[in-house]
Amino acid sequence: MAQFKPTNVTPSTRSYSPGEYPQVEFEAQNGVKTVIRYGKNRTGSSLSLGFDNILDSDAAAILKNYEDINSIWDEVTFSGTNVINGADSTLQSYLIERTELKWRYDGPPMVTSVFPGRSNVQCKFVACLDSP
Amino acid sequence: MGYYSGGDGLMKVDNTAVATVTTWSFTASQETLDVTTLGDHDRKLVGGTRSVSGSASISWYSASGASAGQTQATALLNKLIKANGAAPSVVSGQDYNTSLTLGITDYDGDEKSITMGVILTSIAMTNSQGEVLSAEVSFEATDHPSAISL
Repeated sequence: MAQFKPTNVTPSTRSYSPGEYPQVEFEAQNGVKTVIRYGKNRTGSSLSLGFDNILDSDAAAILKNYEDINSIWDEVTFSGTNVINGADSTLQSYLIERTELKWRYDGPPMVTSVFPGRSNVQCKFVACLDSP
Repeated sequence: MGYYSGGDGLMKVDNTAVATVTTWSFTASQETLDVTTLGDHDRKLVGGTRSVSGSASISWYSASGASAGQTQATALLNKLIKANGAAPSVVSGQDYNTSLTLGITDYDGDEKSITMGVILTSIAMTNSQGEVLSAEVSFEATDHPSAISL
């Protein structure tokens, strides 16, 4: 498991969804709904991070982090980084995913140049249950 | 003299001093980039792009033997309004560009001014009873000022 870098860059925006529980819903023609639950652990949680007007060197460091981690299909940890800055400790435990869920990049970071030396970067992560 | 007034003002269009200008003004602006992050309690900014825009009021003048400096209202009008609908050069944009100098003449007779390439964004002309016919010209700088000595 590799750490998200650069560790000292703090996001401007952050969106988190805890994911859903694995289940299938059947709805009969009379409207009766039946749910078959396959597990007790939620999965597919998502985290979107927006870094606005950061230095190009920090944007490049995020791209390097994506390459380093995804080239070997590694997991990402946000512990010890500024990604969870500004959140209460009760919320931080969700943001870093304390359960069996492991964060991975959900696609490449999107870099938008906004000014010489400054860029906006959007990163998306998804946490799923890995097979043992 | 330490202070200056309208009587000390000067304006040049493409290096031609405008004899009939009554007012000019410009505003230099600085955009900001918001670098505030989660967890901050105070807004943090860094400098972004700069821009200059302004306006001038030039009396319209026409007389036998009028100098170029007296007919700049017409000259500016022709830069913005193309009676034949001619398309300006898209690549160079030269037909749009005007060199504008705004400033004052100081106690020593020296010119203290700012010079910049501008695009005229509007010209408003109103003819009313009891007032001199004049053109209200608005402009925006096309780039950074080429010279400043204010």
